[in-house]
Amino acid sequence: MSKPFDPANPPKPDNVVITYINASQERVWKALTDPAEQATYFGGKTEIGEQGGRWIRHATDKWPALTGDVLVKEKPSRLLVTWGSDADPPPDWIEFLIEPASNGTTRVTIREYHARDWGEDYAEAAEQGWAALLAGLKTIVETGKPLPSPF
Amino acid sequence: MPAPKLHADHDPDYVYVIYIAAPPQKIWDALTEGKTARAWWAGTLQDSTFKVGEPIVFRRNGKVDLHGEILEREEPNRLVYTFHIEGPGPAHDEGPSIVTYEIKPAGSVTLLKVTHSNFPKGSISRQGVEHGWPAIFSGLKTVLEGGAMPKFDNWGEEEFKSAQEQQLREHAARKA
Repeated sequence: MSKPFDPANPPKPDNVVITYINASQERVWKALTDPAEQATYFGGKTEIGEQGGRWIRHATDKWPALTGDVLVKEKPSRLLVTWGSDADPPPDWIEFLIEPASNGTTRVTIREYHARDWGEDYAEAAEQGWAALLAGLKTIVETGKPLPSPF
Repeated sequence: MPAPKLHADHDPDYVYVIYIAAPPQKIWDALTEGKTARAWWAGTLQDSTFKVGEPIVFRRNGKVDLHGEILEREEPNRLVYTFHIEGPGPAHDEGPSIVTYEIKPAGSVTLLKVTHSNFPKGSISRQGVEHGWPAIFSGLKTVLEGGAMPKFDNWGEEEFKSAQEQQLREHAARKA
C-alpha cells in the first residue's frame, strides 16, 4: 500500500521524536550530513546525495544497508528522504527538522510518515532506534566524543 | 492522598526514550536530587524525599507548578509518581496523570525511558508534556555527559511558553 505524499504539504506524521542540542543549527546540520561524524551514531558509513539524488548507509557486520531518495535537502534546516532497504519495500518517509530554539540551542525533530501499517513490535524498535540516533548526534556535537552504541 | 483516578477512555501514553553515557545510579541520583534538578529542568525545584507515599512538589519561579505522590521506587531502576498540574485551569481539572522512569543498562550506556500515562481523552496537559519532556531530558543528558549547558534557569523556557500558549488557544477553540 502506498499513500500519496506531498513534501511541501506533508500529512500528520505517524511518529515524532525530538531532542535539543546545545549548538548552532549549522553545527547540527554538519553532524547530521558529514559521513565521518555520522558514522559515530548511525551504525555505518553514510552518504547523502544532493536533493533529487540518493542516500545510502552502507551495510556492516551488524546492520543491513539502508537507502532511499533525497527529496528535500535544505541546509541547515530540513532533510526529507525516503527510507528503506531492498528487503523491505515500500519505503517510509523520514523528515529531519533542525530549528533554532531558546538560548542558542537547536531543536532536532524526526518525523516518520509510514507508507504502510507497521505492527506493534515496530513501535518499540523505532522508539529505541530514533532515540539512539538522536542521542548519538547530540553527544558527538556537545562533547566531541562518540556515544557507544546501546545495541 | 488518594490513588489517582484512572481514565477508562484515555489518550495514548506519551513515551520518551533517551540514551545517556552515564551509569544508572548517576541518572537515578540526578532524577531524585531535588536541588540541582533545576539545572536541567527549566529552573524547576523538586521537593521530595522520593519515598513511596511521600509527596513531591515542583516549583518554578517560587510558584508551585505541579505536585504529586511517589507511587513506586526501585533504586536505581524505576520511579513512579503522580503528576498533577496546579490549578485553577483546565489542565488541573484533568486530575493526576502518572509518570514512570525506567533506567536500565544498554550496551555500555544507559537507557532512560519515561512513560507518561493516564491522560483523559482530548487531554491538554498531554500536549504540554510532549513539548516539555524532550527539553528536560535533553538537558539532563547534557549535564550528565559533561557538555556545556546553555543558561540553566531558562533552558526550555520558550518551548514551555509556546506550548502553554498553544494549549490555551486550542482550549479556547474547543470552547468556541
